[in-house]
Formats: sequence, C-alpha cells, structure tokens
Amino acid sequence: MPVRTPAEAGVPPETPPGIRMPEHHQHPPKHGFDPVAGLLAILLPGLGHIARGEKKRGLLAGFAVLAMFFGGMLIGGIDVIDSREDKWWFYGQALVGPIALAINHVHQTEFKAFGVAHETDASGRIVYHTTERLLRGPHRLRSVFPGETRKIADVEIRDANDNVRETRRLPVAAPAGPGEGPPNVKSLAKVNEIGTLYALCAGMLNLIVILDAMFPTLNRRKGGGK
Amino acid sequence: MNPGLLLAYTPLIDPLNLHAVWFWLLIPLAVLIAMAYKAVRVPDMALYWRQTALFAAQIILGIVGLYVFSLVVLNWLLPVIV
Repeated sequence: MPVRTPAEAGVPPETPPGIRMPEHHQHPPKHGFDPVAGLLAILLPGLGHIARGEKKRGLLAGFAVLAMFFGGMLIGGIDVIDSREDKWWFYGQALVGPIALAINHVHQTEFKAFGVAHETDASGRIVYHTTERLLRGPHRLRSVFPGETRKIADVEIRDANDNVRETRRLPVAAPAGPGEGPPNVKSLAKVNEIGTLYALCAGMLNLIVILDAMFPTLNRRKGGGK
Repeated sequence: MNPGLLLAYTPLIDPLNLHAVWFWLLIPLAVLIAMAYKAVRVPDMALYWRQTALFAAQIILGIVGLYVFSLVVLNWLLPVIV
C-alpha cells in the first residue's frame, strides 16, 4: 500500500505525521465584523442575528434571554432590577439592553420613595421635612415597606438651624391608611436571590449573543438550519 | 401567605411565594442558559435541541455534584477534622 504524505491526505503540513486533527481544527471558523447587527443585538436580544438572516438562532437566543429576564421578575418581582440597592448585580442585568434600563427607571421613579421624617402640626396637617444631608444618607430614595404607602408630598428642606430653606414635591414613604399599602412587595431571601440570578444570567448570556452578532462566524449555515 | 398580599399580587411587580421550592427554579434556569448559549454556538441548527438538552443536563448534574460535595464536606468531613 503506497504511503501518502500529509499533504496528499489532506492534513495541514504543521500537523505531525500520523496524527489526524479534528475537522474544526483543520478548518478553524472565520469571523467577520458586523457593527449594524451588533447594534441591533444591543437594542433587542436576538435582533442582530435575525437581521443577519439567521432567524432561527436569533429567535431562540432572544426568547431564552428575555424568558430568563422576565422569569427573574416573575419570581422576585420588580425589586430584582434595582440599580440603587443592588448596584453590582444591575451592571450585569443591564447587558439585556434598553429593556433593563427602562424597567430600572420605572422602578426608581414610580415605586420608590424618600424615607423622610414627618410630624403633625397644630392644624392636624402632616408635615414632611428633611435636610440636604439626610436626603443623601438616611432619608434617601428607598423601597416602600409594609405599613407604608407612597405619596407625592411637599417636603420642607430645612437647614442646620431647623429653618425651612425650600419646599420640594417628592415621593415620600408615608404611613399607610385603611386600604393603602406599598406599590410593590419587596422580595426577600432566596426568592430575591434566584430572581436576581435569573436576570443577571440573562444579561451575561446576552453579552455572548451581542458578541456573536457583532463578530459572526462566517462559515456556518445561514438561516439557522432547519 | 398573608391573604391580603395574595389578593394584591401583581405579576412581574410582586414576588411569588416560592421560598420552599426555590431549588427547583434552578432547572428552568439551566435549560434557558443552555438554550441561549447553544443558539449561538452550534454550527448546525439541526443539532440544536440535542446539544441544548445535553448542556442543560451537564449544568444540572454539576449543581447536584456541588450540592453532594458540600454535604459531604460540611456534614462528615469537617466534624471529623475539627
């Protein structure tokens, strides 16, 4: 039987004689650069692949990323998307794209309130008051707890001598009256951890999806197969 | 659960009361991670669901393995050492 050289056998010349490299090592995938697909992938998970003609890949990746993100919210509520109280987790979740940023914005502006002090004046009116320093610290924007409700109220910003410097309309955490309650229930313990983890995994996986759309593998099947 | 809270439940806003079964939620998470990852990794989409099932099973087995390892270390190994 004639002995064939590596070149005759279709093996790259750098491969040692007698060793047959796997197919994907013989022909490593080539990568391109598609900034438009990358941008579309950032806007909506999977949209970059759909725009490139890989519809099935895009739909499956987008579905899985969004199912993870909204699954996390279903488990832990809107509380799991929180750039103030869970800052480091949110950095990962934000990789899901504008959807995560919009939900965080709604959470911060429509559900949270300042935990300012209040007292009842001589006429029976509840007066909310704080200082600039306390607004940045103990009286900062926070979740509304059970037994409280969220109200938009005039808050007196006082100086160190307790003189009213200005009045601002702010969302405040006020004592709940009959039939009132917080706008959302804060999730705790494992339910909060699992919900946060779901949304974080969605962001991390979407980073892979964005990178694959931006730097696509060129020699794989277009259209995402059957 | 507090009946008042149950009545006020709003999906995606309020949390579900799944404290007793939280560990089962790792299974759908593993499946979704495998779905997203394999959607961009498999060269031929004909292999997609097979590869996804295999990867999800590997993740779940890995988690179960870590659980068993932690159980052995905490319940049997550490009491012997300390």
